Amino acid sequence: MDFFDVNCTIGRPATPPRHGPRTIEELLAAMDRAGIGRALVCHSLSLEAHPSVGNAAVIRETAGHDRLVPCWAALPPTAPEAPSPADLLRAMDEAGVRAVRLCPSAGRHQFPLDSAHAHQLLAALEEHRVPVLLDSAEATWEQIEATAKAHPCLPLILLGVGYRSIRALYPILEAAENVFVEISLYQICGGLREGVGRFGPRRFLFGTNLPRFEPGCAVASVLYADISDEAKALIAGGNLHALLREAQP
Amino acid sequence: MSDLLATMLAGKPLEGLVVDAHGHLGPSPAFHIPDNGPAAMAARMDRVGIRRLCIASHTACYADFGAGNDETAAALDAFPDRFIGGIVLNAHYPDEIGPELDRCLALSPSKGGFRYIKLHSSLHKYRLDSEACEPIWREAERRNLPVLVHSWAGSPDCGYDACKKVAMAHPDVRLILGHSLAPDGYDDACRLVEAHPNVYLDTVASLVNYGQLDFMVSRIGAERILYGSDMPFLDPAPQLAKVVFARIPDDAKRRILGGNAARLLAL
Repeated sequence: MDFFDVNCTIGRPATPPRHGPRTIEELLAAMDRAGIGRALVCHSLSLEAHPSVGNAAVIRETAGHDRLVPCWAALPPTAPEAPSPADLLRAMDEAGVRAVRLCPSAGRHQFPLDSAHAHQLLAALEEHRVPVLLDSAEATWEQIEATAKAHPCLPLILLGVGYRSIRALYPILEAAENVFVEISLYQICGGLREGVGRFGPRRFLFGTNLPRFEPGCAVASVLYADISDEAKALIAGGNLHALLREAQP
Repeated sequence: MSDLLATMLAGKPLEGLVVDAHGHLGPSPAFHIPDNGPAAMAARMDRVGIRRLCIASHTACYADFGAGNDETAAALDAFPDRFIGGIVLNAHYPDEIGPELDRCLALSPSKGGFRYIKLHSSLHKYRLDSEACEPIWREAERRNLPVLVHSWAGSPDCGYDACKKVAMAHPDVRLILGHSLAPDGYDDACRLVEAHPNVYLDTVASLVNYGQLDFMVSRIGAERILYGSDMPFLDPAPQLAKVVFARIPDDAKRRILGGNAARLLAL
């Protein structure tokens, strides 16, 4: 099974995981042990400091590590500190970055996901089919649904979707085919079986939340899911490969 | 490579005695659970290699313990070789504690169904160390029944202080701290194990923290840690993986996965 992790962070977060891998080498060893081939990685500085600082760091620190695919964070073009969407896409193309993470919550980059400026950014990313990663705890379900519907060609990948969320999640998956679910916290009994049955295997993506979580747990979620081998392969890595292939920054 | 790890990476059911010491049953009022019935849960157990699962119904934990214990009893009757029953009690109903224990223990004695008491004082809203809870501890002691409690860091009902007082006041009651004082009270949980020989921990948590079990085993050993999944809240596969992927010897994993529970529950 070709596992490609959509939810992985490198760097030195302000509150580091107590026991998880802290260096690139330790991270790669943890991935090896769980049978994970590649990971889409954000830098903790992109999430916790200004994106310009972390986005440079993720390029620098993943250089020479083909298994680690860099992901940037982005801000709406509200002020000169944030590049215009066109400049952002140009820089992504030059750096080989094909996915973007948004951190709109009060504890992070603190911007309204439904502002006009956020929509400018989202529209540009949508035009180029750039996948957007969003921690589901950083927006309300209403904001997530409205964003997905306003930008129907934007691949919106929800990270950290919890096992208690189905009553909010299913209506959104029904209403917006461009919403995808990362599974590191989606551990509800029968969740993948039912979700794949209702929405198809292309809506779910393997993610570990390394270095905070034990990566083997998400691997086991896929390997033991009551779904076909073809569906497992898509969730393990096929879907993420396809989304990144379709992105044209 | 560890045999258990190789089996899991191959996606095959684990072999040997695997006992899940912390489970539930039925639909939850708080959120949708796709596979929550006894048949679906037994099938899921087969898929991952769990032989026995301890269950206490959601109806009992959230609302009416008597009605919920009936649901658990029905599951025990339907799958006598797979499930072990937890009798849910509620300190707000002191007059029913003894009779409910009598009733449940008489329901399916030949099948050895009900083997422990389950308390969810956070949902039922009472303190484990309250006077109202004393009759439950006395009955547990008298009947030699282990007690699985929901424990949660910072909770006045079931946090460190309440668990410590119970462990001290009732040293003959085998007290299993469900969730081990999650989400961030694992050090305190280990302190309780170190200080009180009657305290046990389980591995249940949706936050599958890297290296959490390695740390616990290095500190308190493997003999008083029980594998649990919270099934059907949580799927058993990622919860099993917490144990299987831990960087500890296979014999320690075997004790956590089933040996300790078999001893505690006299299986």
